[in-house]
Amino acid sequence: MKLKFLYNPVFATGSVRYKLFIVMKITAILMFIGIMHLSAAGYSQNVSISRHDANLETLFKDIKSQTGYTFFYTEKINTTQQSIDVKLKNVSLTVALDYCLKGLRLNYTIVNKTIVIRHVTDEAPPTESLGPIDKTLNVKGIVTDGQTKELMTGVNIYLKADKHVLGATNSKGEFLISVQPGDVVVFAFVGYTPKEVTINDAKPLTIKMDLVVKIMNDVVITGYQTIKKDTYTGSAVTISGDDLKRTNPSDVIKAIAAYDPSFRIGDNNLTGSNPNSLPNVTVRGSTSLPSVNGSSAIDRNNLSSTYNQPAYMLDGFQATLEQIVDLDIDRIANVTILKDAAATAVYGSRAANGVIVITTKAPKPGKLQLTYNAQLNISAPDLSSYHVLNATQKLQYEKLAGLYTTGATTSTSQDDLDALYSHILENIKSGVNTYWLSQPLRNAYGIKHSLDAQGGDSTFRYDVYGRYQTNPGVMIGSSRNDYSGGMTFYYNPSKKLLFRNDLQITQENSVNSPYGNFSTYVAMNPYYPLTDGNGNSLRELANWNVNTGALGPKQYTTENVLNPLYEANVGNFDKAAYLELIDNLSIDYHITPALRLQGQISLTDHKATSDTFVSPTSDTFYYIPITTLPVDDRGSYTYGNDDIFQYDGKIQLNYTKQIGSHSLNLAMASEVVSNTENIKSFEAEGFSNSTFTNIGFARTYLSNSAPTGDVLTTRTISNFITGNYAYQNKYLLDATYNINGSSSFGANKQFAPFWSTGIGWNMHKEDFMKNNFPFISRFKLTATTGLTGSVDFPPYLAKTIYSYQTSDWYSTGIGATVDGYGNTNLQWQRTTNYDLALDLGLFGDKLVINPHYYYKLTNGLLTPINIVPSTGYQTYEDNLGDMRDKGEEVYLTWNAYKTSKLNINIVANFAHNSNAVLHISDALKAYNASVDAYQSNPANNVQSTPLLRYAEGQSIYTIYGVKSDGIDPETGKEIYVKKDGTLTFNYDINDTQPIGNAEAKGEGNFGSNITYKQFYLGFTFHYQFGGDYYNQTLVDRVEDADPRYNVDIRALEDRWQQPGDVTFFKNIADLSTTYATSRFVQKNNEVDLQSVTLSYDITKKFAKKIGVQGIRLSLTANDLFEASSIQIERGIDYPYARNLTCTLQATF
Amino acid sequence: MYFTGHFLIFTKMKKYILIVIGLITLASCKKFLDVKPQSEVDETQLFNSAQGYREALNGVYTLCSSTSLYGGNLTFGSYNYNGTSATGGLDVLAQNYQFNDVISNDIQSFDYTQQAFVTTTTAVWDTAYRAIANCNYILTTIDAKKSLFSGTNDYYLIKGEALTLRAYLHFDVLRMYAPSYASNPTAKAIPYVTVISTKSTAFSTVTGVLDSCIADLTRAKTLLQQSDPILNGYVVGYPGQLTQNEDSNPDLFYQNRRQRMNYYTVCGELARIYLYENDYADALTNAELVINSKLFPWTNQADFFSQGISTRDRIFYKELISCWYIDNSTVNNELTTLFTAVPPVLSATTDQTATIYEAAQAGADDWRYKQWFLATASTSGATADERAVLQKYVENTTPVANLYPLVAPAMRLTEMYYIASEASYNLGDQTSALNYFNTVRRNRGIGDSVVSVADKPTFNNLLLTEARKEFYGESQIFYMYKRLNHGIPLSSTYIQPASDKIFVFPLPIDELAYRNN
Repeated sequence: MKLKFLYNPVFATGSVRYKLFIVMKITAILMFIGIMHLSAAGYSQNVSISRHDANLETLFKDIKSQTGYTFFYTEKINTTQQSIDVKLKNVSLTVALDYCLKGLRLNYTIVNKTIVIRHVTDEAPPTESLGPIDKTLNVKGIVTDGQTKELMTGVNIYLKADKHVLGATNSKGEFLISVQPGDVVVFAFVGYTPKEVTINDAKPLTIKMDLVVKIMNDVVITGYQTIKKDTYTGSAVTISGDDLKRTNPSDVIKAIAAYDPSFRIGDNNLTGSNPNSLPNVTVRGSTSLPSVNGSSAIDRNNLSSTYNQPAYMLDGFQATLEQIVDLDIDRIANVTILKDAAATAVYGSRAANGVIVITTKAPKPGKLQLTYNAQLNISAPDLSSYHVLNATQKLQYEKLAGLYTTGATTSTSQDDLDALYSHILENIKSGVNTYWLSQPLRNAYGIKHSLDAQGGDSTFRYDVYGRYQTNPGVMIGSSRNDYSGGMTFYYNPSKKLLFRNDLQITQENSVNSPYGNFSTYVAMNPYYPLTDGNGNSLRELANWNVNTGALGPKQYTTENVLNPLYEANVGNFDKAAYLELIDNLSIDYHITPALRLQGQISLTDHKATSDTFVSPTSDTFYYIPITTLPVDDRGSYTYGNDDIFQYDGKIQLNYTKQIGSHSLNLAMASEVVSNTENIKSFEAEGFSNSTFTNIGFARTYLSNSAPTGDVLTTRTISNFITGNYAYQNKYLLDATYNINGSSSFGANKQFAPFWSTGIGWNMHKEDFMKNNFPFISRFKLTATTGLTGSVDFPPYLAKTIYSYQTSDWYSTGIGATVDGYGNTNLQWQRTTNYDLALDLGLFGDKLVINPHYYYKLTNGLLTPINIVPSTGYQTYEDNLGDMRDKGEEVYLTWNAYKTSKLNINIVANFAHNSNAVLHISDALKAYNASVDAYQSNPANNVQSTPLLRYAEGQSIYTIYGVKSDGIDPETGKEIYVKKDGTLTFNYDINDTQPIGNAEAKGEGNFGSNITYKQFYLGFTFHYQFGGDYYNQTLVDRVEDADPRYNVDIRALEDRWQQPGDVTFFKNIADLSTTYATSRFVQKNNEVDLQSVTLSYDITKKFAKKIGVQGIRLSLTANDLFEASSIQIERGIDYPYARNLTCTLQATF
Repeated sequence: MYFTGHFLIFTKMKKYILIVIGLITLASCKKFLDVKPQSEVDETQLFNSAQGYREALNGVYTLCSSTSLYGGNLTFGSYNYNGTSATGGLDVLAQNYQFNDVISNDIQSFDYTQQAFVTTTTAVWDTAYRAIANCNYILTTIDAKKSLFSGTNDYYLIKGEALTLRAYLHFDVLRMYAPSYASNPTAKAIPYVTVISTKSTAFSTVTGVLDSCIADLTRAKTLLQQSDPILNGYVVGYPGQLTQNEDSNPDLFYQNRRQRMNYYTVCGELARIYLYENDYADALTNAELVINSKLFPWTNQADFFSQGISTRDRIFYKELISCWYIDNSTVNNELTTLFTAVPPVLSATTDQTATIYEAAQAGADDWRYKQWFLATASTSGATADERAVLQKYVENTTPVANLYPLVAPAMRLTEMYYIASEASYNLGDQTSALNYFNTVRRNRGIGDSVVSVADKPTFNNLLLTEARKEFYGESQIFYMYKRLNHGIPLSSTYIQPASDKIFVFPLPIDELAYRNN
């Protein structure tokens, strides 16, 4: 069939540039004008033509120039032959066409913006009788949704053979195509399975299209390969983007955690719901020790968030946790959690802590499709865990604690104390009862708008998207706002070649609350008024004369209580921002149908700044005498700059082939990654007031300080070959071999091999299973093992590094000194993994149970080794130390009820991990002694906090303290149990021993999702049990609480007061330090409702009526409710919040 | 068309693609992974240029001038975190101060189990060996990199100084942590470390360490004799006051030879060590090399008593053969707490200084007694004694500059005179001995000369009394008591008898605990 194109034919492959131009024009329009009703195309555009003796070609030109519609017809139609007179004024396009084609035996159809001109086919054209017989069939028909029977608009129709587009259905779901007999025609629509039809005659057709159902569950995306789940032996969990959004539309990480209990978000009771804090995630336990390089001992609450983190791969490239947290959840197509060696070995040295592969949505061909998302997020502070005293109770407590008795606690005279007491009492009587907790808090309303436009055809597809999202925190002033946008295009110049480019831009602005730590407000006494009699904010609320117990002039000191609200309003700020640009380019070359070569390159530029201003009127300077710090040096500004540039290039060869019963999926790849971080910062001081806060107003740089800067570069090279083989889809084999190199390692050990292998057996495909156990629809057994690594240490540890003493020049020039012994033998921590899994499906997979058992042994833990100081060093780093994690996981999915209207699924999962340190270095053992010394020093203020220690045979989650036998009812004192079992009233740090294990015996989620007609209801509970928890609240806020500040209500009600009281807490008048003992270790059993989602999709019928493809309304509530066996104050520095999210999603 | 063309080329290149993969995987991998730090420098990179060796050498001096070593503990002392008590310092042990608090008093009474003292001596040990390791990095590589240096001058100079520093530091560590030669020359002393390794070096005997020091210094002496600018028309003076002076060389590296280990320091250090092992002849030879060079002039009375604080010489600057440049904010803050704060951590009573400087006898007009101490009312009560606070290390408040930068004396001309005097006496030349001795006294404003001494103990006492005046706040006097195995006078009536219990500091626990050979 020979075709002729008029003007600028749209569907030719030869003229790509024009096509590009159109797309770019659309892009430009979208980006700069942002119109949303492009799809409202119709036949209503009007035409005015006034010509004498015009041929068709001229008329078509006129119509095209006025309407923008292009014409499309075969060369058999002679457009120059006849001429007519035309006089049309402002008539519709169809009227104009009817007029022009009148009497010419031609008819037309309008497809998208193309007018297809054809001969009227019921009669053979008389002039063509000598030519070859035209067998063209003009077939018409309709396309409907297979389930709803609704007519479908805009379904693309093309020839299977050469992808030649034949047209699309109109608004009534009708189509008319011209084909040759025997042609195979494909009907395609976004989200539906393409339908192929072989056409032999011109009978009208009714095509039924079916929705693509859960295609994600059938494959595993490893980041390098897409493998059928049936034949894969690795351990992976795949979650679709839609499911994630339904679970938690405002927090990707929390949403992922709901689907896999092995993906665990560490408790951070300090930062609560602070939008600017990053979560601490582990997958299947820990494989490295927290760094103990710092001088101070480690409190579990402030462990660095970078240790034991899994690796995140975003569209094939390594991403940071921050990038994932800030990712637009609407962009996510699916998330795959890779856990065992068979799944992760291709990631070699990055793999030991698991790999999270995230794929963003790819544009689909079809007519322009617009998706708009609007979201309103309401968060309210959750103060249900706080139970503080009111003004009257507080004063009563103070009296009982002996604050108004001279001698023991103060040097103030009894007369003055009595006066103070009655003054406070007077205040209370006059009605002062301030609820300080609510002062720095608010209900926060966050919004999000995102828009996505995609379309194109099989040769060119594009996707343009943008987002604006605000994320205010519940503490006044804190926020994290995103602006992001991007553009993706796919271009197939031929069937064998695919170019793809993604460009993403993200701007992220975060601000920390000027209100400071929430704990300050919790500690404020309710009898302090907010303002004085004249309504002015008070600055100094109280002065306590305190007996410090020290001898000499420092025995009595004055402790001032300042109003935190005053400090919040002096103009301090602490904010950060980053701008990130990512460009990923890939070229895919299908050498043969089975063999595919892929080259990819990714560039990331991340520029972050931070600005911290401390006002000259801040409390920081309030008590510093002018002689020490002159007035003109007050106020400070710290500016920091962090620039990260990463490039990542890879070349990959894939081979996928089915030969008889053998199916093979092989991949071979080489990848290089380079990451350079450039950090700079400096500090200025001397501000006149808090109005002029620009750094330009600073008087001078901070005296005696120099700017700081650092450049950190890490590079890795990875070469691997991996394969998946299945025989008759019954017997499965996976194998990977990886050679990994990293610049972080010693010159002698720069490359290391990693490997994995897995075997599997699809028993349900065996005849004996089919015959004997017909109710078992799936019985897949897999076993995998392998070796993976992790890189959790600074980039230059393996080198002997000289640092320049820039702030301390010698008189004869700058000096360079050695920082530490560079161990050139330093290498990877090697984790050996074993994983056993069963995939059991019953009754046609209505019930799927998926238990796993795993065992991870990490050798060569990086630990400091003590050496004699005469070598010049006290320690150096070496691979010495072993740790193991083992655990079980069970996943259960049950399709409990299914009819065409109602569908009920029940989902539950369970995980348990147990960690043990098997072998550690002497230096770490010595570290325990240094922790003892650190903890016993009252100046460090950690006597009541259990600190991290290491002992062979114990978990790194073990809680260490002294065993306690409770409170002696006679004396109200605590009874300690010494290591030898004897009882004593005297605390001894040397009796410190394991008193609990924070690892839960079991943890997981359970929930259900129910769809009824257009409604969806889903909810997820999270549970955990059996883990120990050191209830710091009981120490800090009840027993060790300073009675001069507000305390937990239990401090007044539950403490020992007189002999015979059997209490949990010691003597109310005992102000001595409480030590970290087993008394405060409690079992942590809890259930919390993580999310509830209700959504409604409008019916197709209604959608059509209002001119959209679909609208979904949903309501999600997160962290609504929590029931726990222990009572603690949650969110110390920043309170937790409950969230409610309303979402509107519309597709045009 | 455009793309099709490329596509064809692409197809043709098919067979090369595998080769490309191969190339990426194998070639240049090593190089790619060899990342050079930018804000710091990799050892191999630093030692790839002559400049790098200069910086590494300067780095050793920076370490030496830190508060752990000569910018604190080993010169004037240190204090605890809140500035209430002294935690170490050889002058504290030499009874040059008087304290009211318990910790300082315990340390002054030689209680070496005091946690504060253990922490301090551990820091001294660790930092000294860190500095030695830094010398060893230079010394183990410099011979192979000789070609980096244009001419041999820099090579000799850097190698000579690194050898000297290694010996100097080891000798001071020996003088603290090992018994004296006089007490037990074959006792287990300290490790003499000359290699870079995580393996520990075995302990040497006292004699062994001294031999190693002498060997290093002898090599250094030869090297510096050929290269040190101090031997080449160098004129010692105050900064900015002379035409051909110590700061006129356009290259910073060749300036201020007296703030580095110069040729005469090597001679002086050899004299110290020979004297330590009672080799009087060699000690005298080396001390006289310094004295006879006439390079280090005696300080003018006018400079020492200058009214203007920016023209006052508080330390006999021109007489310093060698000193540590400590003019940085850390040391300055340290000195403020030690000697300027109210109350200062370190101070003597005025009675105590009067005794030390023999104010009632010959020392009434002693320049040092008049200029070095500021009488200050005590803060600890009306009945307490008036305090004498050391003025040696006073730094003028900006913008008024001092006559010379803040330095910690490493070696003085007067010490050479004392060595020459003691060596001469022991070699039987009493005349020369007293001549050297009296020269110093004359230049300190003490008019009457000593014309004869009865016996050696009398001579030693005379010398110790004199040296204590000179070395106040410089730590050398403790070493002298130890070398002579002489008791330390606690008061005018009581002398703490000499013993290794007071003269030998305990070794850091880690040094004994983590030996791996």
